[in-house]
Order: sequence, then C-alpha cells, then structure tokens
Amino acid sequence: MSHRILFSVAAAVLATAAGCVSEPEIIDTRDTTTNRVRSMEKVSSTDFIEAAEYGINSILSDEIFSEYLAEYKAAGHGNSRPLLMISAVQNRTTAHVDMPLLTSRISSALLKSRKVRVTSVLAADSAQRDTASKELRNLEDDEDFDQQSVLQRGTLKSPDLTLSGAIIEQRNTSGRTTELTYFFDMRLTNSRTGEVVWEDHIEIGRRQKRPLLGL
Amino acid sequence: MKILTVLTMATLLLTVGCQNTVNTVENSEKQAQVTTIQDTRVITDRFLRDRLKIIRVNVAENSDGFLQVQVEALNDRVGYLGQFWSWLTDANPYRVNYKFSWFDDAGMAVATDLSIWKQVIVKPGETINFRSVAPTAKCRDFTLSLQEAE
Repeated sequence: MSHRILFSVAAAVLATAAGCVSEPEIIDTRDTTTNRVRSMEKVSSTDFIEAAEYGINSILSDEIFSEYLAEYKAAGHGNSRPLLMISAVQNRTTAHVDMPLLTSRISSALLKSRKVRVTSVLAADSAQRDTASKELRNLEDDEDFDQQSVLQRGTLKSPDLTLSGAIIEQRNTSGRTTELTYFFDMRLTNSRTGEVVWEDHIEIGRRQKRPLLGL
Repeated sequence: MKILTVLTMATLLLTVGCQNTVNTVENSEKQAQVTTIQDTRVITDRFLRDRLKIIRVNVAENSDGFLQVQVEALNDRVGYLGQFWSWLTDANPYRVNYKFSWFDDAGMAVATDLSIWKQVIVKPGETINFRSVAPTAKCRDFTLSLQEAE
C-alpha cells in the first residue's frame, strides 16, 4: 500500500515538473531592448545588432566616405562602385566571437545601398569566403568540361576597400558591482593608398550587482 | 488642521528632494539652416505623448542623395509634482524604445538592419535627437515608432 502511495506522489511530482517546462517562444531578433538576454560573459546577439546598426548609419551618412566615392567615380570609374573586401575584425574579448555577425550585416547593408560592391573571393573569415570562384578557374585541364565554358584567368577583381576593426572588452569591478563594456571599432580603408576613408566606434555596456548573499 | 499642514509641508519637502532635472544653455541666434517638415502622428499612448514631446522633425540630404532624419523630442516631465509622480510610479530613469522604418519610392517597406528596436534613457528636461539615415537613396519616407519601456 505504501509503495502505491509513494508511486502516486512520485508520478504527481513528475507531472508537475513536466508542466513547468515552458515551450520555446519566438522572439523578435530585431528588438534590442530589455526583453533580450545580455550576458555578462560574452558579446550578445543584441550587441552585434546594435553595433552593426550604428556602423551602417554612420557609413551611409558620412561625408568623408561620400567624398571618397565621388573621387572614385572621378578617377575614371564612371558609375562603377568600389569593391569591398571583408577583412579581419580582431577579437580582444575573453570569449569566442563569430565576426560575420557584425561584418555580414554591414557589408549586406552597404551592398543594398548601392554604395559599394562586395567580393567573396577574398575574406578574412572563411564563412564569408566563397572558394568556388577560384576553383572554377582550375578546370582548364579537366577533360570532362567543355573548355570554352571554363572561366578565363585574370578576370577576378582586386578589392578597392577593406572593412576591418576590433572588438575590445573592458571589465571593471568595484565591490559587488561589475561593469562590462564592449568597444566596437570599425573602419573602411582604401586598399590602393592605405588611407582610412571611414572610421567609427560604439561602446556598449552593462552593469550587474551581485547579491549580498548567495551565488 | 495642524496635522494637514504638517503633512503638506512634509510632502512638499519630499518632492523638493526628488527634483533632479536637466538645465540647458544654447546659442540664441541659430546658424544652422534647418529643413523642418510637417509630420503626421498616430497617438495610441497619451502618457508617452505628454511626457516625451516631439518638438520638430528635420530632414537633410547628404551629397550622395541619402535622406537623413532627426526627430527632436523633450522629456517634459519636470517640476515638483511631475518628479514626485515619476518617483511614485518608479518611472525614473525614463526609458524609451524606438525604431525607424523606411519606405522606398513605391511606398514599400525596406527590410534593413537599420530598422531595429533600440532603447534610450531620457533625463527629465533633456532634449534628445532620434536620428537615422535612409538605407538607399530611393527611400524618401519614414516612420519613427516610440514606446515607453516596461
């Protein structure tokens, strides 16, 4: 009898616990306000979204970059736009960071704005590099391919601009309070001259206070 | 009667202690050539409208033809009673969520990483500028959505 009672109680506890598990909830990934989780350990998705939005706004409204574009056109390029390569963004944080979360947003916005063209032949991050363009040119000795359809060498374009930067973590602790900031440094460099044609940064921070007792 | 007077005095003293608003100073003869536009507002939150007053909407075009927008707003909840009310309702600091949406020349909404909800803290008496740039040169229309943060 006591086994039956014990079994019933265990079953009831299990059923209650199962009922406590919440269903996965759809979140608005474009909402960077307080209803998104921000970690004190690593750069969060919302940080990348905010930093990219800031960077895009800054590039599109920057007069120095507009001057560069005007000079590019005046230098015999007609209506053509400069070719952008996504270069390295250094990770100066304590956690692994996937840089395309930042750079991909910026490059796609610039491409859609029609201010630049983007190359995928060269990119610092393998996630943004498409090796096919180079591999397709290695088919010239492959008898299985119609040689007239094989791409010629010397047609790939060298980039005019590179997108680079760094994410730097700063952590300060005073008493029970920890302040964490991520400094997103971004720049566009004229690869022909090495001149920086746009540069900006945003600092995204948060603070957490440890409770007096407990973990 | 005496008790009422003491209570009133205590309340006044409390509210005086709560007063913490922004004073500003600026050049009176403005040099900037501002293009202010007419705007249309859809108000669903009257508290937000009364607390964060939209002063003006400026537009400018950069040399590439990209439209830039600046919406100037003022946190108008100042004064003893306003500050006391903010203190009572735990509404200090005042957090506002906002998002810009952009529309192309055919009136179609443009999906862009510029259209995200962001949060800003506005101090009492502070003027804040919500700014955005069009994602393409074809975008001529915009909407700024504002919401009090929970």
